Amino acid sequence: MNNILIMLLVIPLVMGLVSMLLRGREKTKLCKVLTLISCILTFAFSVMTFFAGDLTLHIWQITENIPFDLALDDLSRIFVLLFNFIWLIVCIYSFEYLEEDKKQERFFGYYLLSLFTLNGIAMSSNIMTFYVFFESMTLVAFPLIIHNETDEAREGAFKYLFYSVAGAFIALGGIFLLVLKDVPMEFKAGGVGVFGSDTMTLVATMLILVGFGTKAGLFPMHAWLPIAHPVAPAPASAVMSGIITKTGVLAIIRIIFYYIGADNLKGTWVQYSFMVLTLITVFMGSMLAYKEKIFKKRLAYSTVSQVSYVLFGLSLLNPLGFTGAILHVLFHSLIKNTLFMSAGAVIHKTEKTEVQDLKGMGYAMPVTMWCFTIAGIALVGIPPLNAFLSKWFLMQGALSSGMSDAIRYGGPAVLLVSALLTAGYLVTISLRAFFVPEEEYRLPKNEAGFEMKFAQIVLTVLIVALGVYCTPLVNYINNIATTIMGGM
Amino acid sequence: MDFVQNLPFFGIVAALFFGVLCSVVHRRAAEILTYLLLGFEVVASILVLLFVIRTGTSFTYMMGHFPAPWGNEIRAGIFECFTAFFFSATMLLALVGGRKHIYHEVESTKVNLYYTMACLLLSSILALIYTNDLFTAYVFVEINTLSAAGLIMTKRSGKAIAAATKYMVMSLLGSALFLMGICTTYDITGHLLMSNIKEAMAALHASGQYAVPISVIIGLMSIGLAIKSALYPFHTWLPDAHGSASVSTSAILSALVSEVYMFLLIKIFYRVIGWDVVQDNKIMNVLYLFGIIAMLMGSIHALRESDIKQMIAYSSIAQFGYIFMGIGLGTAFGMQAAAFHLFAHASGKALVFIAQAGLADANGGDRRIVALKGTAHKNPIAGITFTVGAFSMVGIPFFAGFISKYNFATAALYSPNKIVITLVTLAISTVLNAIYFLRVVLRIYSPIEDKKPVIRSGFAFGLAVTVMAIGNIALGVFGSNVMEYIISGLKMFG
Amino acid sequence: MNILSICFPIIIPVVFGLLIPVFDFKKKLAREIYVMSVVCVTSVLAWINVINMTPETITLWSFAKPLIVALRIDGVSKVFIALISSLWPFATLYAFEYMRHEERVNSFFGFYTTTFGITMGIASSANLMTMYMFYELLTLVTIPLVMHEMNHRSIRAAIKYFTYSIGGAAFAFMGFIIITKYCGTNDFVYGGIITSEIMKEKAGYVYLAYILMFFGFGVKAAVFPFHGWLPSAGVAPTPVTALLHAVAVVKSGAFAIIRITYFIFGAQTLKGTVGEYIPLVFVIITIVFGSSMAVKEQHLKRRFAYSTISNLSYILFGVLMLSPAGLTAGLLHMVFHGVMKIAIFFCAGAIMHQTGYEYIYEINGFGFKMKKIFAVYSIASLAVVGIPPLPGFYSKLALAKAALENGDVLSYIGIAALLISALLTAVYLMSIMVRAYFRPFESDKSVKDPNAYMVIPQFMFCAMMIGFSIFGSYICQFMAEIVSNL
Repeated sequence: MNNILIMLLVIPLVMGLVSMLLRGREKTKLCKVLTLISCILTFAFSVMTFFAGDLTLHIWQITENIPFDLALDDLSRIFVLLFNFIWLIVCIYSFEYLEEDKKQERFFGYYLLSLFTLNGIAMSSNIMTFYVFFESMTLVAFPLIIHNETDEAREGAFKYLFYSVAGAFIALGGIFLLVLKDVPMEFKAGGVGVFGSDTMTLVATMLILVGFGTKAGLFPMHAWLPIAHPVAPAPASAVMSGIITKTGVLAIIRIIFYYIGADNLKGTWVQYSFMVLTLITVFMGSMLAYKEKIFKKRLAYSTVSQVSYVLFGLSLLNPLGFTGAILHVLFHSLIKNTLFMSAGAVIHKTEKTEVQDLKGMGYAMPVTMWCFTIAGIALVGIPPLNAFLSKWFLMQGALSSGMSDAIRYGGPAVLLVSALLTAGYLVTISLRAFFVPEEEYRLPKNEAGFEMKFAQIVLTVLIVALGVYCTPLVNYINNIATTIMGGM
Repeated sequence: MDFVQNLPFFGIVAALFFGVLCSVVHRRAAEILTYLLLGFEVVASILVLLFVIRTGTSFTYMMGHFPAPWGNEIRAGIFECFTAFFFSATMLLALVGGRKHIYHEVESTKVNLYYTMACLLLSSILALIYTNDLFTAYVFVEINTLSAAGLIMTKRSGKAIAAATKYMVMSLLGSALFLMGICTTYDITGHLLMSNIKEAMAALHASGQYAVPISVIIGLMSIGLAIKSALYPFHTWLPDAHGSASVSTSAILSALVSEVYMFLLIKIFYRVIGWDVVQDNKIMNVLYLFGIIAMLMGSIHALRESDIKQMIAYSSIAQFGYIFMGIGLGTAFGMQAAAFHLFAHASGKALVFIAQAGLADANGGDRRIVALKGTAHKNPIAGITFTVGAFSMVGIPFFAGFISKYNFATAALYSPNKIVITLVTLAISTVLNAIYFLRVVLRIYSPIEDKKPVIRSGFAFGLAVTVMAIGNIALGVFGSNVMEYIISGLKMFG
Repeated sequence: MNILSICFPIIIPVVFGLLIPVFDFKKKLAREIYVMSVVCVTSVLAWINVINMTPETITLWSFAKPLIVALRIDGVSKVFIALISSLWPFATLYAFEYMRHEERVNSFFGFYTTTFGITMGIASSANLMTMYMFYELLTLVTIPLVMHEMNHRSIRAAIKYFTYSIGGAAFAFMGFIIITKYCGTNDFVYGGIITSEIMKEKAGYVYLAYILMFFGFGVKAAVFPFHGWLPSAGVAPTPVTALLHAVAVVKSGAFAIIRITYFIFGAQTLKGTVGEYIPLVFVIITIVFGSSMAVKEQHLKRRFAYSTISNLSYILFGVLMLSPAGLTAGLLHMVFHGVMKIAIFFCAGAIMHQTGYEYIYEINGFGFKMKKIFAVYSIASLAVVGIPPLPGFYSKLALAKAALENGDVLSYIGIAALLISALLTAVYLMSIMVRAYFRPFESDKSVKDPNAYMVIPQFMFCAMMIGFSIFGSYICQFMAEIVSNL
């Protein structure tokens, strides 16, 4: 069954490299086909992981005490599934979006390579392997951002690269402080058990949190995100915001719960500072999104805010918070991808980029805007849509955390304010799109093509469906939470 | 008494005699006579050196067999003989190497007079090396001054005469101070023979009498000789003199005339005043300080110079600074280092002076550094030997300068208060040397289109520079052996 | 094994190299065959020595009691010799093509080959005197290479180069004198030759000597504030910049510092003293400073030169950890950086050779025109940045590990400096990749890959890098063994 692990890596890697070599008009088609096939295959394999049991695979010994290993555990499965599923959907979407593009083979090549690194990240069984894949992902995602090759794209891409590499190196500094003392490097549910709450460990953890937090747009290393995400082509923006930010989350989960051990951090200054940083980010992201006039930038700020919901959940260090966080990872991915795809569809069809231009768009692109509206409402956290559930768990986690009252009530208060702001910056768009006073504002119909609509609809359906029924998922995640936190 | 023991005296007298002879014969004959004389001096000093090494002690030679304290004595030890050998050999090579220039620059009717001056200069140098009598030393100091001034003047340009006059004035000032020192010495000790003065001085020092006059004596003599050997800031005559003198003159002036005074100073410190007396005197620190300043200022001046000969002249000033610094360290090791540097510098400096002339000739006699571009291709032997000299000046291993640098630095470690200053100055000075010498080396090796020599420099030139270059490398490679002789020679000084 | 064979890799290139201007080859082919055979023979002999040689001393000449010219090959020498002799033949091959249109090729290859021998001499020196001697000679034989173009700029650079180098050597010499005087010897002995009595009486002078020698030899290793010559020396032809100013010369500086630190003073003598801290502070400054300047610099070769400055101080940082782990890390980075940086420089050289462009803003879109060159460049620069699992990562890991073992404040600052520098490295190297791959091609010249002479060495370096990354663990272990066997 180890083949699953290998296939999840090899298929996107090889196919990605192959499709980069395909040039020319007729070959582009082949390239698309290859991409689609490999996305479908990897998706299939990712589903199979749920039936495969825990697997480990030793690939190569980097240095004498640094192995390069893969493993499949409960957490990996969720992330692998998420990554591969979104990749498949966005892949379909991008066929239409990139129709006119001259360098599709490059886009799809790096798109698949990114998937390769993402799968690697999800399945890394030790901290060094994780770092290797994380760093590679930074690099292979870079061409996706710079794809348009405009000055803005270059600026954004550089900012992305600079922050990401800086973050990675801050994290690496922390990792150095931890692992070079000849401690085991393998992740283990609940922590490897050699660390205590000494200053060195805490400093290292904080460095790692801030470092990996860069990818998740955590304040103070968030500034790249609203610049870099919108300059990419819409499918890339979608996966950047929806998925790649989550690798930062995954990194933090792996470090806190699978390496250091949550108990060692509980009640320390690291927990508090981390929590404060997440809350600052949550509020600041929403506030900036509210003020933003450019459509995609507004969504990017929203990502900054929403990913920090997840991090807030993690910072609580209790099972409820953890469950909420993982749920929010999944739900936010679905929602944010939908939102970005809708924005992309609008741009693709009408080339309108500012929020105020969307007046009456509901008449021009009804499907797109409906999907957008549903996703937007979901993100605000209105039941029965999915994000309500994750936010509910987050609030529960905060209230039951047994920490000081300032946190117990302050945290949820910030989340609520942010939710209000979310409503302010997302729902107003929908309102403006559908409710225009005059007839002349109702734009003529100009709906996106099949692929785009399909992708959006699939995700929107999932948003609704998971909102209505997701008990197995919650149980599954609860199960993980119990393993890593010893049934707290 | 061995026959060999007569040779130093014969040498001095012969030099005086040949000088007179040269003034009346034809220029060719004068040239050959001078070469013969120098050849004789080289052989004689080697013989004496071997004799002294064999016997292991120095000997004194009484002129006219008047015993002390009235007589006039010559004394020969290893150090003296080696110096005599080295200086006469260097002089021979300098004259051979610059032969063409002498014919070129001196009026043809006066060439024999040039050689007369050279012979007289040689006699004074040898006398200063060998003499055991303070007053004899003074007499030959004056002869030295006059003959050197004569050599400088031979070029018969207004500038040359001005330079010679300047040299005379400065040099006579130095002589006067030196003479005052001798007078004072005579006054408090009643002797002129070195050995006798030394005993008297030791007695005075032990009794604590005349402490001030002794200091004054050391001061007067040191400063007098320092002026004559162009210690910074008494150097002003030197660049002018070099600027207008013929190359042989420059080489002799830099390598021999200035150095023989330093030799004399070392000798006076050991043989006249007594090492113990000198060591206790603060005057050493003054010499040290001026030495350090000279090391730096000489190089800085050299750096700013655009004429290669002037540059080398200023480099000499820096090198004299090394020697005075070594003396000023006030230890036996400093003295040894200074003594070795006399030879290292003489061999290197004479070489670069002569080689420089070859390079300038290849370019039509233009001595500006910028104009020397590519001259090493036109005159390869001059180029290579100049490079050897430059490497020696910078102190690259396997060249004489390296051993010197090593000696100075090691010696510095024995003077606790002076370690850091000495080492740092040495290092900075090395850098400065490297900058201005290697700058020239780079320039002369720059590629050029036309590689044909403008004028042939001749066999004599090639031979002279080659021998000097080999001599320099030999000093570098066998430096430790030479050092042993110097150490034993200085011991013989007592 | 005849012990005299130590001398062969030194003598052969020096003698046969100096003969090249004498022979004055008129035919290109004859010259190339001659040079290549000399270089290859030397490399083979050097490798034989590396494999077979036991650490025995052979004395060649004695100037005076402590001033002895003697040779010896021990583990550290072997690492350096192996590095140099592996790179030299390929660099020579590259130089053939690069120098095709230049003048005075004979004298160029003469000095180029001679430098090989001198570098070997530095590697095989058995005492400080010998190393100092070769070190000075190295300066002298590389000056003609730096000023090969003989224009105003290159002569200025050459003057700057030798001023710095000889100045450094002069100060190192003063330290050398102090050590020789107090110890009575200057042989390289692992663990140092400074006895506890000397430390008791003359500790101040010992530290002074170390600092003098560190910065003196550090000039060649381009330690701040004595780094200025390296970017200027970039005016030299690229084979010189690449091989000498990224590998041979600068690594000689680093090698010399390894020698004095571990073989003259000894780690124990310096540990926790002012002799450790002052150099360490400057090394850390250099690490960050070099990278920052590289980010600022727009000239291709000068940017890489600043990168070299920064990376050399990585090596020195490892060395100054004063532990076997630190030495191992330093040696690792010495080897890895040698291969990576030569490849990067050769890419710059290929660009200059093919198009004449020297500035970064001129290479827009070259990535698809010079595919092979930029493929190599991409791999090499990712390696320098330290992206795992490329070799640069291992050495940085080892450095950080050594620093953690050391565990004092400066070490932690050093780790931070390494990481900041790694970030800046990413910026200055990858921005070139981005220009080459993600900007439209806009030059009016025709741009294409150079011929096999230039590409083969590049691929070889690439293969070495990939080899390093695959066998990283073995190489790390191997280095550690070498150090533990000293």
